[in-house]
Amino acid sequence: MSFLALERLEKRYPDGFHAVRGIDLAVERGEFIVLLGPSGCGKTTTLRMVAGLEEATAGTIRLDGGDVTRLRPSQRDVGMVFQFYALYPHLSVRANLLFPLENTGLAKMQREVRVDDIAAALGVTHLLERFPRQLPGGDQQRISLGRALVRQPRLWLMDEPLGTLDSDRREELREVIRAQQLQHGVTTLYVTHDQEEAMTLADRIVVMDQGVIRQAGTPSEVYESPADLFTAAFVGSPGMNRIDGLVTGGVCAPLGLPVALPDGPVVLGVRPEYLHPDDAGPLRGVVVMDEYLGAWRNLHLDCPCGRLVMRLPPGAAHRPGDAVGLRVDPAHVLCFAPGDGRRLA
Amino acid sequence: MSAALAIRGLTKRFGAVQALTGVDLDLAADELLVLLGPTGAGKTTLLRCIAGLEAPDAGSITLGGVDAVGLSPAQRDVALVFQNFSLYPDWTVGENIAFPLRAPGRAMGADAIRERVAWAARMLRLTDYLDRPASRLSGGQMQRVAIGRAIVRRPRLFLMDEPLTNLDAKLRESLRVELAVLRRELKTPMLYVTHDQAEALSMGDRVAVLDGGRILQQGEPRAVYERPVSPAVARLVGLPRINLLPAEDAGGGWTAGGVAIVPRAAGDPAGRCLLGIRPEDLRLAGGSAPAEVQLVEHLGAALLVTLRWAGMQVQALVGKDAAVRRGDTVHPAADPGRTHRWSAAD
Repeated sequence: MSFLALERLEKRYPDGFHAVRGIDLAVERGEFIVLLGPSGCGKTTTLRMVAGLEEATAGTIRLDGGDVTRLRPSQRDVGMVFQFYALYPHLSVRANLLFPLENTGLAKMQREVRVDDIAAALGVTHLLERFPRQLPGGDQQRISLGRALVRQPRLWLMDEPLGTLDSDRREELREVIRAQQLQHGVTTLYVTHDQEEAMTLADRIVVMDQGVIRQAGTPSEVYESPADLFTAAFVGSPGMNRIDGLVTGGVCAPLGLPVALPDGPVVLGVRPEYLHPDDAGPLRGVVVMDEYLGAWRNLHLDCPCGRLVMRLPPGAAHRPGDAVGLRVDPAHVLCFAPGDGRRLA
Repeated sequence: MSAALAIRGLTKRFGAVQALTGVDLDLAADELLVLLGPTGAGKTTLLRCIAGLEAPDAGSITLGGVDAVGLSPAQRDVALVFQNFSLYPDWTVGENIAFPLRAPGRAMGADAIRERVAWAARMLRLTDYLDRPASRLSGGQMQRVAIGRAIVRRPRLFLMDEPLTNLDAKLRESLRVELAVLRRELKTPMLYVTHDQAEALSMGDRVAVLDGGRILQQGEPRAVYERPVSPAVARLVGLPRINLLPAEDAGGGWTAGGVAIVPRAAGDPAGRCLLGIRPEDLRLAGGSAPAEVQLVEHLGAALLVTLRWAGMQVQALVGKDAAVRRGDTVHPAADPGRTHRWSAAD
């Protein structure tokens, strides 16, 4: 049996807004799950229901074999990690870090060890006797994350904990979170709208949109084999290209590829790295922008089939207005249904 | 043609904090210059000095060849777009965009205003939303309206202060391209402030890297990325971040942690150096010293491999087809021509 199970979990607000529409999710002990989706997709509401901060209007939440759906937050033994924790200005860094461990039943010795461990992981050991106001913002942020991670409850629930930090600090603290999670094996649900963050942190990504789960899978499953057009477009930077196609007698225009689908319209999906410049290729486009990104560049093209993006080595730049021919890797073309966007092949 | 903006020796202090020190900056008439720096670098202060919202302690600001230091914000004719877009929520998109044209002293006719608003909406793909109240827009649409309010005036210069920072990552990625293409069509110069290095590389005709109130380097994105003048610039530009290894001259070659990394080249510093290797320039085979693979992360189009090498943790960005797993032993190698060497004192 899974460690955490959401069964037909639902949240409908009094004003009628159906934030979460009956989702099912099974999480194994020690898994790092990222709930990924755009604003309003229901990811934060789901997290808050697991925390007990929102009441589920239907469905069940099981944690470690027990039904916790109606338990108060304090009875669930879960730790919620928000974006910024206020530190107590009148307490030393050590006392701030010790604070969440009070009333946990841990012996004083164990509490001290936990504080020393987390301080070492965050590189703030030399600051333990200082006071928050004496420290620069970066150290305060590290310590506030430490306060969230010093306790090891049954679940860590994280709601965009790195929200608006600079990329430098984000990356650093992301590594701390992942290392702490691996070291202590605390089962974790992590909410973000940032697909790159999801790809680097997750054992499994749960893609949500409009209150439903679109797909749950490992980062590479979700990226290489998306279950629908929403996931295909949302995961990846930039997302998967979509090309409107038409199947006639087992051949798909405009790429001229054989497909095992009945005649009719289809949406083809191709990742930017599976498009290649080729003057003899089946597609032609005009350069809108050559977007240099250092290690690679994204070439944005206007084609008869719409806007396409090709990922290329940094090499020589294209100029706006240049004409470019393209071909695709046939092995990496996916087919989706035009109506509901579900994956066909 | 005179530069759209020329700044010389700009200095600003707030009490004990030296916010800007001797900043020199030029913006050509048809250019998008990105000012890149971490929080607290002085980016916003510089922008506010240009807009006339802050008076510099020393230095000059010239707009289109005219000394701007004595001019009021309105006289400078620059349009400022902030991170926090403040629209009138009950007004329609059209009314919000038209607002700057209705300012007293502008005396624009109703037809002229309507025409200008329609043009701005077309540029920003907001035509279908002109009659919708601002409160019923998505975050990305709201930011487009805020940008519409800036372009509708046809100012001589755009100043953008992290306009995309509060939006979802996915939206930021598409809007940065939209905004750069729009600016090219408008042919109006733009100074764009951000802490996001991808935005800087992607959007800028040129990038100026600011830290601690000083410009560390300015140049085309490729030049700044490929030839960073200091380890500080190399760290601020490029994600995944550059590997920096303290190295020693072992008679003809640079070694780090006892491992030979690359041969010496003409112009290298003497004795010790800081060696920079971009993750995409580190191959996983061909080197002499072994490294242990600690982590393999799937970034979508590529794999990011974390290695223990030469006693240090380094990262390599490799293709998805690379057969590499956690626990493997590999022999990393770097192309000497693609490494960076700075004297240890930098």
